[in-house]
Amino acid sequence: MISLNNAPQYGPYTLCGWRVESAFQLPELTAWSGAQGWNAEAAIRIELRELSPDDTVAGFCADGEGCVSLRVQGVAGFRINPLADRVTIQPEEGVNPLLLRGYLFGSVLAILCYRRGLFPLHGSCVLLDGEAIVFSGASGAGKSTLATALARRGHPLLCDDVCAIDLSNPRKPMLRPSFPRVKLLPDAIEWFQLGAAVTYSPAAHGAKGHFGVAGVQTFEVVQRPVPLAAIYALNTPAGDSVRRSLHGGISAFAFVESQAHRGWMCRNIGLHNQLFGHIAALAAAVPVYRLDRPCALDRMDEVARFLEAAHNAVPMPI
Amino acid sequence: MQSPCPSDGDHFSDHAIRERMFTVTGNSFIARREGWIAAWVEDNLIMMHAESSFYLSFTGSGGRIWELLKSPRSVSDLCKALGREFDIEPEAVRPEVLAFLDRLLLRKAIDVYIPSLE
Repeated sequence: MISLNNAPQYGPYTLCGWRVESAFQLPELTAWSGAQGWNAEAAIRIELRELSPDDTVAGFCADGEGCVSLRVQGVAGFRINPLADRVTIQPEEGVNPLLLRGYLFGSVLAILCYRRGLFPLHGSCVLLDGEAIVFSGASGAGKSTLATALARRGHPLLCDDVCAIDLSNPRKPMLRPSFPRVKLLPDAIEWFQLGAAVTYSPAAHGAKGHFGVAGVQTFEVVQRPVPLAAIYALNTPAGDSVRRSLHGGISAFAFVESQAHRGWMCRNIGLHNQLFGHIAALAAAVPVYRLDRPCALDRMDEVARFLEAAHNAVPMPI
Repeated sequence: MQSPCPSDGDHFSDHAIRERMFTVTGNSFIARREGWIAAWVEDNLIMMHAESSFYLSFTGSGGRIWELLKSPRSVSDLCKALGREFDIEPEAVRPEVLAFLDRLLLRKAIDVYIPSLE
């Protein structure tokens, strides 16, 4: 049960290298530790309070002063201030907290990234041999499933849905991990035997059926920026063998552009140039591969082994 | 009397403008339109119009032409500059340059002028 109050009393937590204090619990996040090599950036306060009617227009809204509002019927109204250091939330009565946090760590996190100069790529990310690789593509393409298959072989899961990428050095993009949880469909949850680690929630708009959010533990929980080594474009699985092929310049650009998390919101808040620059820098600096692979869950280990070999990684203890 | 033709790299000034043109000819002056941003991804120059999010992409000399248009210049200057870079006669590159500029004009990425003769 989430009730309105003003004081952020939980945390501080770590999210993509930012210090976060919240008025409600964020069990996905790890505790803040200042000694993690992050640049000093303003903390984020997450508050629960009533929003003015102007701030709760249905859908997405950017006002002339730089505030961004998002209202999701049946869930909450969210408002992000221009400095992106305060998120105000007015939850609807009886909202499922997991669903609320799903939007907080989805669309709201994407806006925070854009406002704070990061690029949020839609995808799931794991650490392979000290470097981040992202699986990106349309909903249902198998991003989270493939990331989980690698995590079950001991490779730390870095983030799911929003992959925050720091392009302050355009030639060396860095992935800033969020938290090691994934959204999975029931068949994948069963296959990976995640039972006790799963919390179930009704999916918004029925987009992903009845999904579960699973914490996937590995030996190491990574909370430091790591270099981004590759982006894998996942299409609807086809074929019987595993192979990857490199997307060329314009093709890589087009794919990354298509997977900018809520890229249209970034344009609506006037950050066209930042968005374009980030997409171009990412497509130029990081190889974008098309990954063809079989879709059956019992072939996932085969795909995972292929990726381990491609990135000189070996299975790790969990 | 002003020179009708700015030298290579000169900025295009308002008083040199006589008429905005809707086709590109050998006598035209070319200026980038505002609102376009561009970046190289490998050997592709990718351009986006910020307001409309309309994209263009060029390879090879197309991208180089856009770079040379950082300063407004005449078609003749453009052909000379490309001729020097690719070690060919300016007249030999002119048809390709004109065709490319027509494409940019069609996509509202450039403005085309003829110079004042006064």
